[in-house]
Amino acid sequence: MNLVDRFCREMQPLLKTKDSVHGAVQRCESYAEAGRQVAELLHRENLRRVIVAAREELDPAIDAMHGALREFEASVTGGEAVRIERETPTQEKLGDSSRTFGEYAHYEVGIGGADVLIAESATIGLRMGPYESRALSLLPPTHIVIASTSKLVERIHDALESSFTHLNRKRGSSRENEAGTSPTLTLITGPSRTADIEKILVLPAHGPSQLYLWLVEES
Amino acid sequence: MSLTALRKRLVSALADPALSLPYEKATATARAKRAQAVAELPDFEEQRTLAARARRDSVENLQELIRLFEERFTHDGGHIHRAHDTLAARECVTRILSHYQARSVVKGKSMLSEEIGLNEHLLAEGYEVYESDLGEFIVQLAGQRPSHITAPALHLSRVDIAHLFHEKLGVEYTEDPVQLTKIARTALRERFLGADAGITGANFLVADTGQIVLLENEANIRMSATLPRVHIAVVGLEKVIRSSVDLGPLLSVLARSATGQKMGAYTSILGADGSPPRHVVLVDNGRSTLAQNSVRSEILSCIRCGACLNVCPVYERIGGHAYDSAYSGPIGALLGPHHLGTDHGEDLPFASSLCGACSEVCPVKIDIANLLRSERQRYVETSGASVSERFGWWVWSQVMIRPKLYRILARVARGILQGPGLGHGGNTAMGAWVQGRELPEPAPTSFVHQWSRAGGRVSRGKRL
Repeated sequence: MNLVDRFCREMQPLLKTKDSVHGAVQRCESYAEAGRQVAELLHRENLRRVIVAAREELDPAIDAMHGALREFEASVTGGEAVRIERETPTQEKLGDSSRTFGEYAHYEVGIGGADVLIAESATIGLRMGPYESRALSLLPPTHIVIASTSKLVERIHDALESSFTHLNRKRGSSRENEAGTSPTLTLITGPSRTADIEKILVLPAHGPSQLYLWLVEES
Repeated sequence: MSLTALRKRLVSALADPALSLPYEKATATARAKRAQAVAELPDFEEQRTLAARARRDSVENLQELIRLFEERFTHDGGHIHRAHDTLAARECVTRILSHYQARSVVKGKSMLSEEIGLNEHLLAEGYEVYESDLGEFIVQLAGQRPSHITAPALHLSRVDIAHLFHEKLGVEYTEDPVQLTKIARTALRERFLGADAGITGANFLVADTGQIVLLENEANIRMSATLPRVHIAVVGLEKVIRSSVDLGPLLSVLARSATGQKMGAYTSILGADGSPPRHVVLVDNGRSTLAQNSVRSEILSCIRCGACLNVCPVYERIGGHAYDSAYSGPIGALLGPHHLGTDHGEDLPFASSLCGACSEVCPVKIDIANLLRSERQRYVETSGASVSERFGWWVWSQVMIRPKLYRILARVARGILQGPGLGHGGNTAMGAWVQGRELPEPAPTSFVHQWSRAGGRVSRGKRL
C-alpha cells in the first residue's frame, strides 16, 4: 500500500466516534482544487471567521477559495460574508503573528499546512516557524490542513530524522554561531479527544473539534 | 507482621465489592486495546528492545545526560533549576512564579507535581491553581486524589461526575459525557486564556537537542505550555534521554502500551524558543541515589504508561486509592518508597501476587515482579519478620534438608489431608490463607512410591 493510501486509511477512524464525525481527509490534484473544496466546506457549514497561515504554498488555494466564495455569495441574499484573514510572517523563530491569543479564540477556522506527514499513524507534523502560528492549529474549533503528498514519510522515526538531522550532524561542533535553536515540532494525530469519563471516547476535549486534511497530489 | 496499615486498607477495599467494578471495566478495555495495538505493529518487540535500551542508557548515564540537556537548553534560551527534594522543588516554582508576578496557574497533568504536593503548596501560598486535564479537573473539584496514572478519574461514574459538576459548577444536571466534557471545555478555555503561568510535567527531555517532549490527547498541555506568559515544566531527572533518535522507539511503544493508540492526539517536541519563556525544574527526590543502585536502578526506566496497572489483578480489585501514594499499581509500589521517603509505601510490594503480568507488558522491560520480590526481601531483612513466621520458615528448612524426615512427615500430612473436615483452617493465620482456596486432594501414595513400584530406580538422597 502506498503512503497516501495508508495515511488516508489510518486517518479515517480518528475522525469518528460512535455518534459523530469530526472532519475528513480528501485527495486532490492541486492547491487550487483544494481551495475550491474548502470554500464549499465553509459555505456548507456556515463558517465565517477564518485565519490562514502565511505559508506561500497556500496562495493558489486561497485565491481559488476567494473565487469560489464570491460565486457562493452571489447566489445568497443577505447574511454575512466569509471573512478570510491571513497571517503575516513574523519574527524568525516564533511563528506568532500580531494577533493575541484571545483574538485567535474568536476565529472559527484555522487553515494551515504541514511540514511532515506520517503515514503509519496519520500524523500531521508542524514545525514552528515564521509561516504558521501555534495558535492557528490550537484555538479555532476547526483546523484545516492543505499539504502536499511530497511531505509523506512512513513512520515517526523518519519524521524525527528529517526534522532533526541537521542538529544531529552538528553535534559536537560549536553552536555559538547558530542563530537557530532546536526546532519545535508539534505532531497532531486526529482532533482533540478524551476518555476520562468512564473511558467513553469524546471528541473534542480542549483543542480543535474538527480536523480536515486535503492531500495535494501534484505531479 | 507490621503491615497493619496496608492490611487495613486492603481489607477495607476488599469489603466493598462495588469498588472494583469501574476498574475491572476500564482495565479490561485497556488490555484489549493494548493487545490490538501491539499486534498490529510488526516490529513491536524490536521497538520495545530499543526503547528499553534507550531508557537503561538514560539511567546509567544520568548525570552526563542531564548536564548535556542543561547545556543545550540554556544555550537556546531556556532556564534550568535544580531541586534536590520536594521542599526545594516547591520553593523553586514559587520563586519563578513570583519573578513573573504570576498569581494564577493552569496545569497539565504531572505525576511529579503530585509527588511533591505542588498544588497544595501553591494553594496554601495563595495562588489560583486550575487543573486542565479533564480527569484531573474532575478529581480536583471532588477534592480527591487521582486513582490511575493516565486516567485520574477512573473510579468515578458519570453519575458521580454529573452530581459533582451540578453542585460545584452550578450547571444544569447532565450525565451525558459529551455535555460534561463541553462544560469543562468552556470553563477551562477561560482559564487557559487568562492564566499567568502554565505548569506541566514532561514525558522526556532530549539531551542532544535540548527539547521537552509532552504527550497528550486533550490539547490542554499545548494550551498550558503556549498561552500563558511563562511555562514551567517540573520534571524528574530520570526523564532525560540521550537523543531525538530514541524518540522513535519510545513513541512507538508508549501510546500503544498506555491506551492502545498508535500516537496520542498531540505530541509536542518543544525547543526553548523563548515564547513563552521556558523553565525546567529538575527534581531529584532520591533519583540520583536510586540510579547508582545496580539492582534497582531500572525502576527509573519507567515511562509512565500505566500498562502494568491495567494488567495487575490486585490493582483491579483494590483500586488506586488503596495504595495511598502518588504512584499506584505495580510500578507505584516500587517508585513510592524511593521518591516519597521510606515511610511512604514501603509495605506496598506486599500488595502483589507476584504473577509477573506487569513484567510481561512493560514497554521498557522493567522486571517489575522480580523487583517487587526483591523489595519484599529487603523489607523482611531490615524490618524483620514476626517471630512465628521466622520459626515457621526455620522448621520448614530443617525438614527440607532431611529427606528421610521429609518422607515421614509427608506420609503423615497425606493421612491428615485425606481425613475429614479440613477445609477451612483452624487458627487465624491459616484461615486467611485458605479463605477462597480449597485444599487439594492428595494422591493416595507418593510419587516415589509409585515410581519404584512401576520399576523405576530411585536413589535415596542423603541429608544436605
